[in-house]
This record gives sequence, C-alpha cells and structure tokens, in this order.
Amino acid sequence: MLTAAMIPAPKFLAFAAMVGYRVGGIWGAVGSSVFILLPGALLVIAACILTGTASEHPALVTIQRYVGLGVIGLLVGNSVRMFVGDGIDRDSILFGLLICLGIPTYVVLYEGSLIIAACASLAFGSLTIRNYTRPGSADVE
Amino acid sequence: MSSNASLLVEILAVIAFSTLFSMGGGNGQLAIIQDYWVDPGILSPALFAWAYAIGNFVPGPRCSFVAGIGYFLAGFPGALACLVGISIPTVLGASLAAHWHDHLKRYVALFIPASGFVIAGMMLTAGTGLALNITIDPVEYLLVALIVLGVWLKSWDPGVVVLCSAGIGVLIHLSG
Repeated sequence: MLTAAMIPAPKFLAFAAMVGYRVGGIWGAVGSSVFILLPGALLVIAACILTGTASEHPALVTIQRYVGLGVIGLLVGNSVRMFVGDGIDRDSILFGLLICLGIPTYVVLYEGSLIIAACASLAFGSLTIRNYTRPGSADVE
Repeated sequence: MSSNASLLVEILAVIAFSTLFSMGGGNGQLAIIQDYWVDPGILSPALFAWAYAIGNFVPGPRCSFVAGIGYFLAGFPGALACLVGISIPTVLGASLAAHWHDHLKRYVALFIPASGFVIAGMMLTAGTGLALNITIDPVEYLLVALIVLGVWLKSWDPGVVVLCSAGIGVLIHLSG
C-alpha cells in the first residue's frame, strides 16, 4: 500500500494493479485494474442514465444543486485536510502555503493554465520541501 | 479523424493525464476535469458534481466516477475512453513500481512531499471553480462552510455528506 501511494494514480487502483502485476505480469495488472474498476463504473453509468432521464424534473434539479454544494464543501474540506495533515513543520508550511494558495490564485484570478500551475508548483515544491512526511493525512481519495 | 473520434481521444488523453495528479491518495484529477470541461461550459457543473457524488456510493475505487464524466461527455464510448484513460497510467506506474521499486523510490521521494500541497491546491482550485460556476446564496455559503469544517475537523465521510446534501435538497424542494 505504501508503494501504491507513491504511484501517480488513484491509490487503491494502483494497489490492485501492483498485486495483479506480481501475480500475472503486465496482463495481470491490466486485468486487476479493469476488474476492480468495472463494477463501480457500471453502477455509475447506470445511475447517470437513470438520472439523465429525469434531468428536467424540478426535484432532481434542486437535489443536484445541493449535492453540488456538498461537493464544493468536500473539495475544500479535503484540501484543508491534505494541507494540514497530521502536523506541519515550520520549514514546510511557508512553501506549502505558497503552493496551496498560489495554484487557485493563478488559475481562478488570473485565468492561468492549471496544468502549468500544477507542474511548476510540483517542481518548485520538490526543490524547497524536503524530509516531510504526512502519514495517512493524504488519504482523501 | 471524425469529430466523435477526436472527442474520444481527447477524453482518453485528459483522463490519463489527470490520473497523474492522484498521487498519494489525493484527487487532483477533479481539478483537471473541472478546468478542461466544466469551466469552458462543455460539461455542466451540476452533472460534474453529480457524477462525483455517485462515485462515492459505488463499490470499488471512488475514481470510477470518471465513467460518469465520460458518459455525460460522449455516451458509452466516452465512459469507456475514461476507463481506458485511467487504466493506462495506473498499469504502467504500478508495473514500473513493482519492477523497479528500489530504483524509482529515491526519484519519487523528491516529489512526494510537495505532491500533497500541489494536490491540496488543485482540489481548492476545483472547489473554487465549481463555486464560481454555481450561483450560491449567502445562506448556502453557511452550508458549504459547515461541510468544510466537518470534513476537515471531523473527517466526515463523503457518502454521508452527499446523502445529507441530497436530503436537504429534497426538504427544500418539498417546502418550496
């Protein structure tokens, strides 16, 4: 699981792919990642089809609006959780804060490219933030 | 290449790229999806939030919500493109990590400490962008603030948050 968290991919999916690779090589990784995704994905698609047929209903529109507000809260709350983690050392907090607030400022206020902001922040962070671990804190997938 | 095929290639490429920002358990891919399809008006913010919300209720990894995004963008082929898109970097990354774990560890260790902050920033961007796309009343900001505090301080489960938000929506609809 620790190695899976280092892979640039959703953690549990990466974990399944790693187990699949150990068992059956590259095809094992393909099979395990496809079959761990498939049940959930089929249910998501089914739910999207069902709600799509009733998309004009006023009740669903209101529900979707409030679910949207909930998702905004989830995103911002998880962002704060990821930032704070289980404790921040003083050396990291300044650079971390710069990155956390710099990305939305550049993208939202200056209409900059998110990808450029993210890649530049990753490069900047890898040069300035060292020896900082946050066990469990990033588990907000 | 027809416009339909190019849309599918675009979906596959964006999802594959966005998957790279899921390092460490965070969900930076939401920000990429939001930036690429919600902000330009290709995907409505309500459907984006809806697909993400549904993803919290299904078995398996929560990232399966991307199938819903793909379906809303281009029907079944779009959903399939999303699943392929999320699988390619995952399989490659997992295979590389399983095979050359010790060699890759020191390189990945350079990025891991910063990745948490970057993904936190991307999620904040996604939340802010979504809020700007939905007109929010002052009272509704209180609801959002309550959820932010609950998720941050009490680690509220996303499924419960979504369910409660939907419940409030039902109550508002019935009372209105």
